[in-house]
Amino acid sequence: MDRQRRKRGKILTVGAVVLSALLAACSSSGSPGSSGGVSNSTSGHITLTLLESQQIRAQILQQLIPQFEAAMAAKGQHITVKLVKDIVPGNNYQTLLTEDYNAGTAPDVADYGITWLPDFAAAGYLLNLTPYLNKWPGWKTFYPSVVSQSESSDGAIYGLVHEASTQQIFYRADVLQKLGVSTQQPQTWSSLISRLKQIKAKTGQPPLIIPAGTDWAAPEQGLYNVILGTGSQLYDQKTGKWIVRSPGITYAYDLLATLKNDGLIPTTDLLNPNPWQPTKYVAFPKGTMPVSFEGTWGWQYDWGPKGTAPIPDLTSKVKTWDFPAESGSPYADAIDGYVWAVSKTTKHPAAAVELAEWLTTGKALAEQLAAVGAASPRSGMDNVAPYSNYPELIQAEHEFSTAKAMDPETNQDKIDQAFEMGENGILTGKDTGAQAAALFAQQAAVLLGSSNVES
Amino acid sequence: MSNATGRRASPVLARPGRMWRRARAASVPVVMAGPALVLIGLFVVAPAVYGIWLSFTNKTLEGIGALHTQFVGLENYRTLFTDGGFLQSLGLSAEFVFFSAIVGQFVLGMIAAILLSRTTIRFKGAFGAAILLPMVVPETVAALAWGSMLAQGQFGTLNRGLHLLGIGPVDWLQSAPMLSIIIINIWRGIAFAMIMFQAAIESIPKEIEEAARVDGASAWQIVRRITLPLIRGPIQLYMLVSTITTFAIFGLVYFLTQGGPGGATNLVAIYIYNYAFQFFEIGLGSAGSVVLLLAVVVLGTVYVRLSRAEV
Repeated sequence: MDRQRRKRGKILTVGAVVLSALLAACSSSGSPGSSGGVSNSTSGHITLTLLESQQIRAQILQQLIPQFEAAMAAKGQHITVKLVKDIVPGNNYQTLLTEDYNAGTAPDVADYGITWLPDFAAAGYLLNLTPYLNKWPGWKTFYPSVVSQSESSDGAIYGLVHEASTQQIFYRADVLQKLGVSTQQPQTWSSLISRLKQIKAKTGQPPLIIPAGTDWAAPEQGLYNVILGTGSQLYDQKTGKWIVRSPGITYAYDLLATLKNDGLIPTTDLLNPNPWQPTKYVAFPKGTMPVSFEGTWGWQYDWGPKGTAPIPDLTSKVKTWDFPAESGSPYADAIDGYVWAVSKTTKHPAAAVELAEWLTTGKALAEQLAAVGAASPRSGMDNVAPYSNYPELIQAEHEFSTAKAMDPETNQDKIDQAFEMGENGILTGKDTGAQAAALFAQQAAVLLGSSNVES
Repeated sequence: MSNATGRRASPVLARPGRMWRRARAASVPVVMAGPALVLIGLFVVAPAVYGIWLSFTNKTLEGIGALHTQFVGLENYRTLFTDGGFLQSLGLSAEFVFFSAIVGQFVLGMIAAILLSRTTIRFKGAFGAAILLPMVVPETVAALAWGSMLAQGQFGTLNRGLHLLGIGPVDWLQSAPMLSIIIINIWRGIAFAMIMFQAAIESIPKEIEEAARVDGASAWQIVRRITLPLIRGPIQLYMLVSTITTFAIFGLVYFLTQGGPGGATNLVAIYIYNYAFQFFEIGLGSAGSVVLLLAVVVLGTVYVRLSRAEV
C-alpha cells in the first residue's frame, strides 16, 4: 500500500513538474512586447529591447540601430539592440504597454507620446532620468518649454523628448482661393466660423476637421487648444488639483456645439471608429474638408510624400493659421512631444539611457524628425540634414518660444476621457455646451475622485 | 473457489485488501478529474476570486493608484450604479440578447432545423453549410466582412446594391447601429441554434409524426403540438447557453462599432473593457464584471427553475 502511495505520489509529482514546465513554456512564448524585458548580459555583452508602435518610426530605427551598435563598439561597449515592433493603433498600444509595465515585462526603452508620461511615472514604471541627463552635455540644448512638459510633478524627468510639435489650423490654400474665401489669419473664432459657413455654402459639406469625441480620443489636438486661448488651464499647479469648471471649458464646449449645430464639422465621422480615416486621410487630401486642426506631423506623417495620405505639392497647397482667440491675439499650441522612456525594471539603465541620448542627437535625430515630421526639441539642429531640408519643421521649432502650452499632469488620461465624454454629449445631440461642461465635471469627479478636482 | 474459501477462512487478512480496493476505487475519480480541477481552479476560480477582491479596491494600472492599492469597500459598486452609463449599457445588453439570441437566432435556427429535418428538401448539404459558415468564421473576420458590407457612402457592399435600385446610400452603423449588430449576431448564431434543434428533432421517433399525419394534422400543427413540446428540454438549454454567451459578446461588436456611435452599442462587456483596459480602472471594471456575473447567474437560475431540467 505504501509502495502504491509512493507510486501515486511520484506520478503526481511528475504531473506537477510537467504542468509547471508547460505553463512556463506558455508564459515565455508571449507577445513580442511582453518578451521585451529580456536583457541578457553575458560576458559584458548587453542586449537592450526597444519598443516602437508606428511603422514609419520603426523603419528609421531599423536603419539607426546598427549605427548605434557600431558607435558603442567603437567605445568598447558591446550592445545589441533588439527592435520590438508592436504596430497597433494608439489606444491599443497604450493598453499593451500598460499591461507590460504592470507585469514587469516592459522593454528597456519605449517610444510614446509625452501625455502618457505622468501616469506611467506616478505608477512607478519608469526610471528617473534626471541624474543621467544632468551629466549629459546635450541636455542643456533642450528648449525650456520642452523640458517643462517632460518634468514630472516631483521635479524629475522620466522621459527624454525626441520630437516636438506645434498644433495649428492647417488649411487647403488652393481650395479656399478657388472658393473665393479669405486665407488671411482669422483673429477670432467668430471670424473663422463665418469663413467656414462660406465654404459650406459653396461645397455643401462640413469644412472643419476637429479631433473630438471618444472615438478620436485626443482632446489635446482639439478643444484644449481652444481652452488655452481663453486663458484658462485644466490643472492648478498650486493645489495640485484638476480644474473641471471654468469659463474656458464652457466656452470650448459651446464652440463645439455651435460648430455641430451649424453643420460645420463631420459629426457622423466623429462618432464612428477611426474618425481620422474618412476626414484627415480622405476628405482633406481631396479638398472636400479643407480646414483641419493639425500638428507638425501633418507635414510628413499624415500628408507628406511617404505619409499616410500624400498630398502632391503639399507645401504650396497647404498653409497654416494660428488658433484664433476672442482676445484677438492668435497663438500656436506647443503639444504632443514623443519621448524615449526607460523602464524601471531594466537591467542596464546606463546603456538604455545612452541609447535614448544617442537617438536624440545629431544625424540620428535629424533623420527621425524628417521622417515623422516633427520639430526638434533642442537647438542647434537647423543645419543638420535631412532635418535642415524642411523649413516648415524648422518654423514650427521656432514657434516654441511664443506657443502656449498645457503641460501633461498625473491623471491626464482620466481627465482626457472625462472631457471626451462631454464632447460626445454634444456630438450625439444630447447636450448643449453648458450641459457637456457639467457632464465633464461630473465624470472627472467619478474617474479621479472628488478629492483630486477643484469644485 | 479456492479464493472464496481463502477469503472466508481469513477475514482479518482480507480486510486491508478490501479497504485498499475501496480506497483505490474512490480515488479514481479524484485522479481522473484532478488535472481538470487544478486547471479550473488556477484559471477560472482563482481569477474569479481575485476579480471579486479587486472589485473592492481602487486598483488601477497607471497613476498613483497602481502603486498604492487600497480597499474601498462598495465604492466601485456605488459608482457603477450612480453612473448612468453602466445601467444604460446593461439595458443595451438586455436588448441585444433578447432580440438577437432569444428571438432572432431561436426563430431562424428553429426554422432551419425543421426544414433540414425534412426528407423532401433538396440541396440540404449546401443549405446547412451556408448556415454553418458564419459560425466557423473567426470573430474578427466576421466583423471586418460586415464592416465592409455596411460601410458608409458608396464604399459599402450593401449601399452599392441599393444604388442599383436607385436608393441612396445609408449609413447603417450610424443610423441603425443596434439593429445592425443584432442582425449580424443573428447571422452568426443561427448555426448553433440549428445544430441543437436539429439534433433534438432527429431524436423524435418518426412514428409519432406519421401517426399525427395519418390523423390529419397539418404541418404547423405537427410542429406546434408535437415537435416543440418534445424538444422543450433542448430549447431551454439553448436559451440558457445563448443568453449567457450573448451577454458576454465583445469582439464582434467592438470591432464594428467600438460601442458607438455615441454609446448606442455600448454593451456591458464593452463598458467593462473600456473601464478596465482603456481607462485602466481595474477595480471599477472588476466590479462591473461581478455585476455581470451575478446577472448571468440569476438568469441561469431562472432558466433552470423554469425548465426543471437537469442541466
